[in-house]
Amino acid sequence: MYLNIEETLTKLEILQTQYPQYCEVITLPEQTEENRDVWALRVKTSSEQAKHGILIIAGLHAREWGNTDIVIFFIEEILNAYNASSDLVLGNKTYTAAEIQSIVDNLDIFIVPATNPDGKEYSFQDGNDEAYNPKNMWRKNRRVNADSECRGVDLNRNFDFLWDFNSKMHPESILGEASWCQGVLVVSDDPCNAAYHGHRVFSEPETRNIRSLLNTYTHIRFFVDVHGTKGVVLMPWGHEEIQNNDPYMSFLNDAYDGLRGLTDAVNTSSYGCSSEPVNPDGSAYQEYMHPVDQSRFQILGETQRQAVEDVRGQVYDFAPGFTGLYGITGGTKDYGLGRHMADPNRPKLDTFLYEYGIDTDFQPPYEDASAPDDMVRVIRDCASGLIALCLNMQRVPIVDHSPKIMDFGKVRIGAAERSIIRLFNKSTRDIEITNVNVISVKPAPFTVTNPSAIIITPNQSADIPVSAAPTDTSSYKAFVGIEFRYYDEKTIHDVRMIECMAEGCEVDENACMAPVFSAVNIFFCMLYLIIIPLIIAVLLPFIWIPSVFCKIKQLWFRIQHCSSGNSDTCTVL
Amino acid sequence: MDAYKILLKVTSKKELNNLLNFLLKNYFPIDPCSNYPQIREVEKNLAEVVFLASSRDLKKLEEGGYTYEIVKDYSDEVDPREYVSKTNRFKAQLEKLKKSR
Repeated sequence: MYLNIEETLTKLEILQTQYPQYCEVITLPEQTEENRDVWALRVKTSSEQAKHGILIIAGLHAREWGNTDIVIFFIEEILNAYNASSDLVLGNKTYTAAEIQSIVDNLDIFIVPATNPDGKEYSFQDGNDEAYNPKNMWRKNRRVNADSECRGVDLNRNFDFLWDFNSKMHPESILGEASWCQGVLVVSDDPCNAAYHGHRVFSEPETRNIRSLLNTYTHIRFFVDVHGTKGVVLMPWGHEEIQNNDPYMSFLNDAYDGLRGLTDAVNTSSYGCSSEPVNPDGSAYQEYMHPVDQSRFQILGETQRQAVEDVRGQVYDFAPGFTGLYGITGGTKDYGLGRHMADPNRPKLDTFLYEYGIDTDFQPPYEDASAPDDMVRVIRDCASGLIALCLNMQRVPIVDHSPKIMDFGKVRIGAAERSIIRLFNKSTRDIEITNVNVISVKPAPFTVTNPSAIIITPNQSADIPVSAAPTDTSSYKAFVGIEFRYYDEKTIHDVRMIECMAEGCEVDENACMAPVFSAVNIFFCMLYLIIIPLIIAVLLPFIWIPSVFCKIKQLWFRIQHCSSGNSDTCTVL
Repeated sequence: MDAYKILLKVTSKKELNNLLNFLLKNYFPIDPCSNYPQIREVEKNLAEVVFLASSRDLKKLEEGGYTYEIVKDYSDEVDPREYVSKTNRFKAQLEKLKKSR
């Protein structure tokens, strides 16, 4: 039988009691509308090595009952096999004891099996909802919406990614406004609609709980959201097609507001989509993804799809959300990938979304030997996919870099400002830097040179020199891309994109320029305050000499800015 | 269970859009997730739209001027809520585990 909400918590508590040395039940910070707690289970062995974290959530959509059971089964099977040092057999697919050990030892796993307990509990009840639909078809949470007789918010439309679809997306991209076709956006600002996005971004405690986990555990590198029932593993983007050319054609760029979301795909399979796209936007808008990221998504996604198939031959699809399912805004997988783009101080996340079952009902019979797609079989299929992800995400290096943004400020035309990006290897294996380059569709005055080391051993770093040499007074922006992989891993690469900014400035050759210097601590500032006035006193009798006058001004500037430093080569004193 | 799998035929993209908009506006439990309702192209200019509806939904369709065909009557089928545990099957196991620790 499907797990109810109380049983879900009990399952987590059993695991915590059985394996207290590596299982911890975490109560997430916010209760739901109906005062229910939401819990996560964290599985982490005590080793001190840096680890990738993975967050797997289930139950955002109330009626997709099976996804809670999938993640509970997944974690139970892994922990039981780990504890017994035994292989894990799922139908025709066997994961060896060594593979299971690597997952538990090398990863920090978080699961949230019942993200939306109010909605799920409601969907278990008899009777009809306010729209006279059976309650078991309830999808949203149970938010009481102000000024509406309808309750609930679609939690997978409430995350911070193009949430304000009315201003961000093309008006004809919304379902009901355009033709029925894959790629058309399913989102609404009508509280009675099943895809209602909420009265503001992150309006719901359930979505804020997920955000809180990601903000707290910053080593989480992978984020999976389990849904049903399309038989597909999805990668970003969910709101548009992917392009690899222009990093500034992105969800962050307001210049593209109102243009996004129209499908360009030629699709003959769905009725209503002719051989020509219904409403193409062509090159007008597509969402940027670095080709290295896209390649990694495809490898990891295909690995999961294959692992599902290996259990009993169920052939799931693997595709970006927009072309593989339909368009959405405010969803988990786009929010996850977009987080570090919106704020480079946040860690990078690879995100996937599962749709369990291949066109099964949302609630197939739980265990029925005569039903080929009973939930027990579907659970094994999807658990296999999740295990494959946990195995293969270990092929992605653990790194950090600084700075997160490189702002050269004003740079004098004809001069070149230099700085470095430092890439840290936080893993236990060697990392190889395979490429560094400047990513820009427009001419940009940035150059990047080969790193100080191509191979970075564990706990070491490599410096990548970057310089800015503007040739006119424009403001420039571009990205530096640093591509890398584990030295012994030939297929899966990763990339960090660091945005560089500079503005050219023109100054008179004879002007008295502010000195460029680094900030110093309070002790040295005090020292400056004593020494520099003495030097100025010595120079004062010669103040009528222009170069001396300039020197005095520079010394005074140094006192004024000693705690902040100055990197601006264009300040005239 | 008060549910029927029903089939409606549409002969143009416009007709299909009108139907889908009708379903959305009347809060049918349709979900474009999972291609639901299922839309099957039978031949050029003929598609079948298949979805679940309650007897109340059928009345709404009739009032909207739609003709449908009942493909399956679920009145004798198991309500999926029967598949959900009504108790806490694991409570005793947890208590036993806690006592043994």
